[in-house]
Amino acid sequence: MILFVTVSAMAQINVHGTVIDRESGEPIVGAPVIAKGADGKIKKYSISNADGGFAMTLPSVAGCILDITMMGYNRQSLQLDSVSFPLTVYMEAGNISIKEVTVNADRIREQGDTITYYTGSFAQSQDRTIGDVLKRMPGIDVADNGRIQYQGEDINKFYIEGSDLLGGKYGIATNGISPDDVGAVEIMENHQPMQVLSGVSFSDKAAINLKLKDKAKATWVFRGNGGGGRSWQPEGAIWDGELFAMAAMAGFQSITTLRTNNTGDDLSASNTDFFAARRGTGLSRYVSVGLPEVPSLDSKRTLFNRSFLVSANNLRRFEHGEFKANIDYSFNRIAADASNITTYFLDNGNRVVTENRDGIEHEHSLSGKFIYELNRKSAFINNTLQTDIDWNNINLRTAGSIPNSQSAYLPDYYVGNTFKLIKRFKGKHLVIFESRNEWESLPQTLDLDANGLSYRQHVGDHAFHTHESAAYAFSLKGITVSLEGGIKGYWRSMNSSLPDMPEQLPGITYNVIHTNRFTVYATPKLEYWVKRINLTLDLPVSYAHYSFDKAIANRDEVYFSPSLNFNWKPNNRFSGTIRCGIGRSPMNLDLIHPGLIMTDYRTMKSGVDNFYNYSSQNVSASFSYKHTLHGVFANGMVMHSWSHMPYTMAQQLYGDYVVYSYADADNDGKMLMAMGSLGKTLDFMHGSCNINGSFNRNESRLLSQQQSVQSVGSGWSVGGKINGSPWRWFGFDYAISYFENRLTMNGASAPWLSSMTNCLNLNFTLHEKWQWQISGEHYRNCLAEGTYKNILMLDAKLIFKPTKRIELSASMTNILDKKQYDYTTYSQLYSFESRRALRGRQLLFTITLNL
Amino acid sequence: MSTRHRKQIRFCLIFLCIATASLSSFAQNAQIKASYDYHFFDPRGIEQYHDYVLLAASDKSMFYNYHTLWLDATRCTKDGEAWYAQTSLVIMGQVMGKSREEAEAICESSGTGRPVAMYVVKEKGKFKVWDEVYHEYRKYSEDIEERDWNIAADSTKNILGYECILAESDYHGRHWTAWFAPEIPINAGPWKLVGLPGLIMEAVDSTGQHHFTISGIEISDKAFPKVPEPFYYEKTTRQRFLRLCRYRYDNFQGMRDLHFGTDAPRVSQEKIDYETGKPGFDLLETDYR
Repeated sequence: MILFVTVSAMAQINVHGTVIDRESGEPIVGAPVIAKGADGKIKKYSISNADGGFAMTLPSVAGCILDITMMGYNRQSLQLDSVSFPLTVYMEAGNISIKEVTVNADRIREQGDTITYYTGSFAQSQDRTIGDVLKRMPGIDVADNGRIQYQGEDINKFYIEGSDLLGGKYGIATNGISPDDVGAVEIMENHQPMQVLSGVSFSDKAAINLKLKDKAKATWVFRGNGGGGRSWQPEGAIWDGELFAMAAMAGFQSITTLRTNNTGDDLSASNTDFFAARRGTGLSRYVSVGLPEVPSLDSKRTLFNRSFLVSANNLRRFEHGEFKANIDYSFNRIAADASNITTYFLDNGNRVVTENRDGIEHEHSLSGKFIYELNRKSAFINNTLQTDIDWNNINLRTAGSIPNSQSAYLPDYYVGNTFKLIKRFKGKHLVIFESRNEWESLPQTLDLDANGLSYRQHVGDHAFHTHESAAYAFSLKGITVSLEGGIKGYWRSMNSSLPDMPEQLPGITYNVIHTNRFTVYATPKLEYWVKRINLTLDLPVSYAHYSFDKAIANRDEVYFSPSLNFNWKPNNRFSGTIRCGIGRSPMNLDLIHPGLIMTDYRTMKSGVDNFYNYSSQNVSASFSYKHTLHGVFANGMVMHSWSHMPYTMAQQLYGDYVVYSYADADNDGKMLMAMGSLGKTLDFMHGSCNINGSFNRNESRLLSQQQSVQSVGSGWSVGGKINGSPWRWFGFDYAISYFENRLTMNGASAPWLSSMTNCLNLNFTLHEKWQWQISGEHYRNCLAEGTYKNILMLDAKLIFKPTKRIELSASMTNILDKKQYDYTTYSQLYSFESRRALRGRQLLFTITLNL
Repeated sequence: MSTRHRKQIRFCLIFLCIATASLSSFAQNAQIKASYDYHFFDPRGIEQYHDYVLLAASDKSMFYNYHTLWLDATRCTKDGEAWYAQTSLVIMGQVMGKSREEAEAICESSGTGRPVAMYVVKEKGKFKVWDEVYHEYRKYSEDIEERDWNIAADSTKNILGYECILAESDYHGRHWTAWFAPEIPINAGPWKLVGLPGLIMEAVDSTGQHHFTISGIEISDKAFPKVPEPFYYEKTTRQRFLRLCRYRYDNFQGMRDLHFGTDAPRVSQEKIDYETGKPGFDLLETDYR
């Protein structure tokens, strides 16, 4: 035994040495030194000390390997049985690559009602604007038109560094600001934009704030790109240009942007006011001449445009509030054409009917908004002056059974001013005064040339709306009681004339209508907060006097539309809301016109000759859940509503013409809608994913050829998105969506029609300065039961970044040069062939400058 | 030795000092950044979740809470302290009359909350610790003791895509089981758990009451931040700090008196019962008795 111990003690080998940096000759501290057996398993280890020294004892070194690895150095492996001790190990500088898993703490962070998304952890190298990054943040949804939702609800404010510069036209920022300039995106839940109402009035809406990086603050940021190239359809030169200038300083903010292209890039997302309230003037167009509809593909495939947009936005802060001016002008020229060929299989030979439609639309829009605002805890003052002028011209030619050409001139002139004052006294009492005055004129002219005859439909429509209100509120022990009262006045005059009209149509073709209204109303409101529950009861009651200048009898009406809102937020993660309401409302006053109005070359509409009210009920439930640490966001909503209208739309055919009118018949409608969404960050690959689904069912009635038709439209959809950047040199975005819908008339169901879209975008960073993008979409649209149309579109882009400020790119869209979207459906009696043009292959060279 | 030689030696020494200084200042940047979830039961038996960030380089590491660092650094500036004072007043107004759970939730979710107080910096063979118990701020330094980790090379577990090896060791009163990743060759880990030839990705004590789990890892060249001290940290030793912590759980009224003075209103028995340590639960280090 003693002998054995002695032998084993003697057999212990002292493995020791020093770890040295080869370049500097300095000892390396903290280097893990691992002795591995022949099986690759760890036998012993040591960590180098302050002198770079390490030591360990091993019973035997036969077949053993000594591994010295360290961050910042290349790995060293030594066969232990071929070295002598003390060892000197020289380490060479190098990199040990590790699989990175994003540190969660730096992706999404929650503080009270504020959720912070760090831009860098969601951005990918191909992202051009902050809007591209927002789409990847779980919980935030950016629709195709640019509208932003958080947890299924529209946002109520969009701030840049805490300032509301752009109002509802935040598309200018999301489509302009570079992700490199934004440090973080903050979501402020339950955001009450008016400080004076904080703690008094509950808001279930969220706001977005872009936190700029220091380099983008207190200075001007410029970005510009210009590109030119060639397109194969429409054949000719193409251009795409953009200038963007931004300043975010303490007392001053400014964004000016100029964009133009004819490459199919729809600029309307930059020019839409997502917060626009319904205009009090309530006018809508009678004439509805539209360009032929395009296939349900991404708009960049189908839009034949020439677009131009300029927007100047400035904000200046003073000691007593801030002043903002937003001025925008946009121009759009859109061309579209379509042809349908129907072949009837007849005994005496086939009969072919061709219908071609081609048209051009010119849209000009000029708008100005001037706002003064004071937003303090004790007082809120806002005056907004807004003016919008639009001109729309549409020229449409149709060749076929009724060959004709239509030309519509549809301008719109609007000016409105809103003044709002809220004052808080002794912390608990609020007095609110609001005055809103609006005027709008919506003239419409439709010139029609058909069968060698000319027709001209003219409509003049003007309205003035004024609304003065005052409110008082006080809060006590969590209960806020408020009473709002006011008067509204509305004067509208409409005249229409159609001097000649096709002979086979009955009825009068001129209207002179005055629809005036005077309303007195009161809205008591009760808001109750206890623990984490908010209960809001609205009880609006109003009296309205309608005068119609003898066109129809004057009316006096009383309306009462109570609604209840219950919100429960047991913790910061979950919020649930139930809403319900019932109400009685007046009909749309623009339906009152006994005479016919021609809305397009084969459609005439006449309104009601009586005044109606309709009633409705609705109930909805929604929830939202988030767990920011795990990056989980979920929301869901279900809504059911019922409506009862004592009038029903009727459709009657006279030869090739359709006449719509309204009849005294009950129309009960029902609507069911449900939707849900679940998002999650995928930290292991720097990405996120989302799944969503929706269902809707609409039931309504119309009279067709004096027969009552009960129609039910049903639809459902599911979709998923995933994106990530698992390696520094590779990023991807993938989305799939599938939807089906069906129309049922009087119990007879048409087949479900489905549509599936797959979009994939791959981005390879080949080298620090070179990037290669390849993207594409595949569509599978169901045309008739069992008949599908498949189409694949492919794009590629090569980017070269010689310096940080300059980027050169060459892109080719629609590489496969698919120029037509054609399909044919057959029945026993005829075949129907539809042809639509797509944007063909195009090549674009672009230079981008960031200053 | 000639004067010239002396001058040369002095020059060399100065040069060496500068070189070492520049080298050590170069070494003040981290090489990796990792995030850890710390799931534990405090001595009252209340379940808690804290999140930490570890910045580590070969010769230095720092384990801290992101929000606490931000808040403390903010409060070190004049404007930051003014913001803190104002926001705290608002929060105080909000929590008045609320239940304890609600008040805690409001405080913790407000930017002014500071649920995690500990900073651990490993540097030059020592741990430097900044911590707090019942608004009493303390800092101490301790030598890093050698651990006797027993590696079970056959026991592996995949964590965040890394094959991790199990190792066991006693440390300051608890028996720890840790999983480390040899693929990340750095002597670092959560809290004071170090001494393995790879990053410690997960560690749990034998009672299961203290559990650190890694949730993310990135390459980083971030400079090690200085631990901000917006308030006075009294110097102490580890043992004395642990005993003070124990006192807070054994004699809550006494701890209150120590902090606020005996003139402060007495606490209800119900509150004392709530705040008192429960059998079977203890501090993270238990070798203070």
